[in-house]
This record gives sequence, structure tokens and C-alpha cells, in this order.
Amino acid sequence: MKLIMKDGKGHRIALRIPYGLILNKIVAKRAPKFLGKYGVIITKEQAMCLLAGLRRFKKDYRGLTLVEMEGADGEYLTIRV
Amino acid sequence: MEMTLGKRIAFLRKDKEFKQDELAEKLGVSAQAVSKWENDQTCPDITLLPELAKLLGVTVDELLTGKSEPKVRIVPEAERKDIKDMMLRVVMDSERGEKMRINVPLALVQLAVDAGMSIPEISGCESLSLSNIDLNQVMDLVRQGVIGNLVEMESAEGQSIRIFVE
Repeated sequence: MKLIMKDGKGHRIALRIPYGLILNKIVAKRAPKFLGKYGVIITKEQAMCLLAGLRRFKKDYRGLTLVEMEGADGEYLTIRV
Repeated sequence: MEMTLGKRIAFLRKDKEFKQDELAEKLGVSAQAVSKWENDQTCPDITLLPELAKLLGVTVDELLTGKSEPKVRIVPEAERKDIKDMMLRVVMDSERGEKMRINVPLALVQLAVDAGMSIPEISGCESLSLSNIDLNQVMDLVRQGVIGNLVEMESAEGQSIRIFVE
């Protein structure tokens, strides 16, 4: 999974994250609390379900941009399979 | 009678109650340029088309061809794509200029529906709640061949959410 983040000042970070680090139960349990800080409200069960789905479908949707967010000040985040 | 591009620009401009110089100012061109477009003497620069279409309230495709694509349509069974080749897209724009685009394969949506999930609530769009949208109904519509804009919501503050299937 690839994360690309830019702030409004021209700084850019691209992170390649191995699926083993994110598609696991530990992350699924922590995800609701983490995402809640950014305004996305999901339960542990929803997170587990989504991660299981991603594990199953990651090969079929390689390169798909799952999320793309752009802030008013030029901040930018994409999450790509 | 089919309209030319220039006549279409003129028609849409008048419909929006813009004068030529007002439209020109918004696009950063001269009023003479707009006049030439409308008289089919010249065409707008390609880089201006998205902004021009937005000001006139149409898509670029509609502006150039004069044909409006229905926002929702039912695809005949023989032409329908497999669910695993289809996408659910959520487009959210806030009044502050923030944008969010989410692309979820319909196969994943089906998985979520089977697990009894609903759309997670995303705060920051307090006026527009996604939690009342029934994913079961969305999938039912898709299975019946519906594609296009399934949900369009706009709040008084200027936030908008669009959910469409393609």
C-alpha cells in the first residue's frame, strides 16, 4: 500500500507500507481510535471487515487510489493499493 | 437544429444571466474573445474549457457536444459489467475548499453489506449524514443495472456529497 502526503509548503512524503504491517488484527483494533481523531467513525468490527476485504482484493485492485484528500491549505493525502 | 459551440456558449451564458464582459472577466480573457467564441470565429482555449463549463453549469462534454449524459441510467442486462469490475465512488467537497474522494470496489461494498456494515459517519460534514444511506439498497440498485449518481446532497453551508457507481 502506498501513502503519499504533501503539506501546503511543498514537502512530500511517499511511503510504501507492506500489507503485513496493516492487514492484521492489531491494526484493526487500533484503527477506530486513530481514525476517530480525523473524523472517521468506524467500529472495530467494521475495521476488521474492511481489512479482510482489502487482504482479499489487493491483487485485483493494484494501483487503485482508495482515498484522496485535499485540504484547503494545499495538504494532500492519497492512499493507493 | 443543432447548435454550434459558439451558439451553445451564448445560450448558456444568457441562461446564467452573464454578460459577455462578466464571463470574460471570470475567465481572464477579453470580452472580444468571448464575442468571437459566440460568433464561431474562434474557439476557447482548451485549458479554459473546464472553468468555462463550470461557470455555465454543464460538463465539458455537454459544452462541446451539446448532449447531456443522464445522471442515472439503467444498463441492459447484456451490457452490465461484473460487480467486481465496478466502483462505488464518494466525492465530498466542503465549503472551505477541502475535498475527499473515496473509491471502493463494489466487491468490497458487497463484503461490507454481507457483514452488516453501514457507511461510516464522516464528521466535518455535520449537515450531511451518510449513515442513513442503506448499502443493501445501493447494491440492489446496482444488481438491477442502475449506474450513475445514486446520491447527491448539498447543504446550505456549501458542503456537497455525491455517491455514484460506475
